[in-house]
Amino acid sequence: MYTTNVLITSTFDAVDLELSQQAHSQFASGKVINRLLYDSYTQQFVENALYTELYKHLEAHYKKLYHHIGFELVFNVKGEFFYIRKDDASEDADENATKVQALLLVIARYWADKGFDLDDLANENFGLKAKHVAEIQKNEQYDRIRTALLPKEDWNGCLRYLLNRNFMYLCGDDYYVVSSAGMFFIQHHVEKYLASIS
Amino acid sequence: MNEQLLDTLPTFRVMMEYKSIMLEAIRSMDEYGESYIREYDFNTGVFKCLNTLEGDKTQQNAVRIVFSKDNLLCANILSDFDQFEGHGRFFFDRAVLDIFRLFDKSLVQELTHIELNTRLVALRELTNRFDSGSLDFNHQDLDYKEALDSLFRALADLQSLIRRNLSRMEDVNKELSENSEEALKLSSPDVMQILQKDNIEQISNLLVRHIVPTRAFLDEKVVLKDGLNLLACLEKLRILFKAHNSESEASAMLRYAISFNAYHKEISRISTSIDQFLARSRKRLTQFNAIEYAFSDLNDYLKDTQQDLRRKRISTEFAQTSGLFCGLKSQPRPKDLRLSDSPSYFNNVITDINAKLEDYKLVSQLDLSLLESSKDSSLEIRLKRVKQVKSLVYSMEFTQCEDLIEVTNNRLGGLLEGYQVLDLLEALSTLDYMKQLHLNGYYTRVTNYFNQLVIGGYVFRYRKIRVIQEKENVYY
Repeated sequence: MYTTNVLITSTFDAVDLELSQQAHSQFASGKVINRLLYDSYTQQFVENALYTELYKHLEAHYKKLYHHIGFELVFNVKGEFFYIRKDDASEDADENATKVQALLLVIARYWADKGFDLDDLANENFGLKAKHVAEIQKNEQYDRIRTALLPKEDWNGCLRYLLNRNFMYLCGDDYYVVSSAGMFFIQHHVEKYLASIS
Repeated sequence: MNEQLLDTLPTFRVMMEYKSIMLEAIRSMDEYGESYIREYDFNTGVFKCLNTLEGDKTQQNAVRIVFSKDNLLCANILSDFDQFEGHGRFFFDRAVLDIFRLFDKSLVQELTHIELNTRLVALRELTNRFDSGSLDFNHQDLDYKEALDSLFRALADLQSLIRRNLSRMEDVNKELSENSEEALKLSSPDVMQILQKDNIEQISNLLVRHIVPTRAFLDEKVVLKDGLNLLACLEKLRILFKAHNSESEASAMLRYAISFNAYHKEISRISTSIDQFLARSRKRLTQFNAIEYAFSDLNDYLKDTQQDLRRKRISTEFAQTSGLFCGLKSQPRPKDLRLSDSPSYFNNVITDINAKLEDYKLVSQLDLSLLESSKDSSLEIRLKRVKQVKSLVYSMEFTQCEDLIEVTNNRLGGLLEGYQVLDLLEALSTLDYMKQLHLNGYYTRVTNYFNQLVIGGYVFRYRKIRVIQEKENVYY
C-alpha cells in the first residue's frame, strides 16, 4: 500500500488580502495601476504597493484569478503598468481607449509643438500647468477633437478623465504630470517613427 | 572716371572711418566661403554708405575716391582684381582683412582642420630645424635669430587665433539659446521646425568642422600619424632650449604650453555644451516629427467623423490601430449580490434560492386563476384577488429582512404574471397583522421609517416592516 503526503497550499494564502482588494477596486473603476504614483504629500513619485503586489504574485496568482473571473490581466512590462479587460471587449471599452489615446496625443502634440522635451511631461518639476491647459483650450483644432471625444466636458473635464484612470496625476493646483502608462503611449509613437525612418 | 588717387595711409584712414563697408563685404565673403570679395557686394556696401552721407558732398566724394578700385590697387590694399565668369573679384591683402576682422568678433574665421594642420606642420618644421643641430642657439647667429623670430611669431599668431575663436565659440551658445527662444515664440510650428533644423545644421557644422578639430589640436594626449602634436612640439622645444641653457626661451615654451592647455579645457567645455544642445535639439525634433505623424492620423479620423452625418464621435478604429488600452473600462460589481467569503453571504444566496423554489411550488399548488385578469378592477374581483394573494403570502416562508413589503413584492413580481403591488398592500392591510405569516421564529416590527414603491406613476408610501430575530425585538 502506497501513501503519499501531498501538501496543497492555496495561492490565496500567499497574497496580501488588503492589497488584492484595493487592486481589484482600482481595476473595477477602470483604472490602470502604475509602478510609480505621485505622492502629493512628499511631492514626488513613490513606488506603488499595489503594483508591487501584483508583480510579486503575477503568474502564480493574479493572472489566474482574473482569468477565472472572466478578465485578462494585462501587464505592460515596458510601460510598467497593469489593467484588466474582458475577453469579449465591448465597443464602449474601445471608446475609452480612443478617448485616452486621443487626449494624450493632443497633450503630446501641444508639448512637442512648444519645442519642449516630451519626457518633461512626466517630470514632476515641469509637467502640464494651468497656463498650458489654457493654451490647449484656445486651440480650435484641439477643441474640435475634444468635441468628437467628450462633447459634454471642457478641457478640465478631459484632464479629469485621464486623472480618474491614472494616466495623469495631479501635483498641485491645476498642475499635472503624465504617468508611466500615459508616457508609454506617447513614447510608443516616437519609437514607431524612429523605426519607420531607420 | 575718378582720376584722383590717395596714398595708403589716407586711404586706410577713410576705410577705417567707414569700416562698415569692409565688414559687410568680409561677412558676405565668409558666407560664400570664398577668398575674395565679389565686386557686386563691395559696390553695394559703398552705395549704401553714400546714401547715408547724402547732403555731405565732401565725404561722399572722399568715399567714392577711396573705395575706387584703382585707388585701392594703387594703395596696395587690394592685391589683385580680376573678372571671372562674368563678375569682378576683389582680392584684398590678407593683413587688411585681418585688421578689419579684429573689429567684429563674428568675422573671426573659424579654425578648420586644414588651417590648423598647416600651422602644426610649420611648427614641426621649426622644431626639427632647432633639433637638427644646424643651429648653435646663439643670439649672435642670424640663422638662429631668424628661426627664433619665426617660432615666436608662429606661436603668437596661433595663440591669438585660438583666443579669438574661443571667444567667438562662446558666443555661439548664447546665439543658440536666443535663436531657440525666438523659434519658441513663433506660433507656426512649421516655421519653428525649419528654424530649429537650420540651427541644428549650422551648429553641427560648427562643431564638426571647427570646434572638434581645434579641441583635438590642443589635446596633449592626441596621437597624430604624421608627427608630434602641438604640446609635444612645445615640450620638445622647451627641452632643447633648456639643454642649450636658453632659460628664457624654455620658460616661454612652458608658458605657451600652459596657455594652450587652458584653451583646451575651455574649448572642451564649449564642445560638451554644444554637444548636449545638439543631442537635445535632435531629440526634440524627432519627438516633434513622431507626434506630428501620429497627430495627422488623428486628424484624418476627425475629418472622417465630421464628414459622416451618422457619426458624432471619433471611430474606435483609431484606438485599435495601436491596440493600447483597448478593453479598458470600469467593471462594476452587482450591487445586490456583492461577492464575499462571509458565511452570511452564502447563507443569503442559499436562502434566496430555497425561497424561490418554495414559491414556485406554492404557485403550482394554489388556484391563482384570478390573478391573470389583473386588468379587471371591479371591487368583487379585486377582493378575490387580494384573498388569493393573502393565501399565497400566508403559505410563503419568510426570514430576516429589513423591509418585508419590498421583499414580498419582489418575490411575487417575479413569480406571478399580472401581479400588482396594490393586491399585496391590500392583502397585508386586511391581515390580522403578520401573526399568521410563516416567520420561523422571527418577529415582525412596524417601524417609523418610510419607504415607497413607484409603480405606473403611482407612489405607494408605507412604513417599513422589519423581520427580526426574537432577541432583537426591541421597541421602536
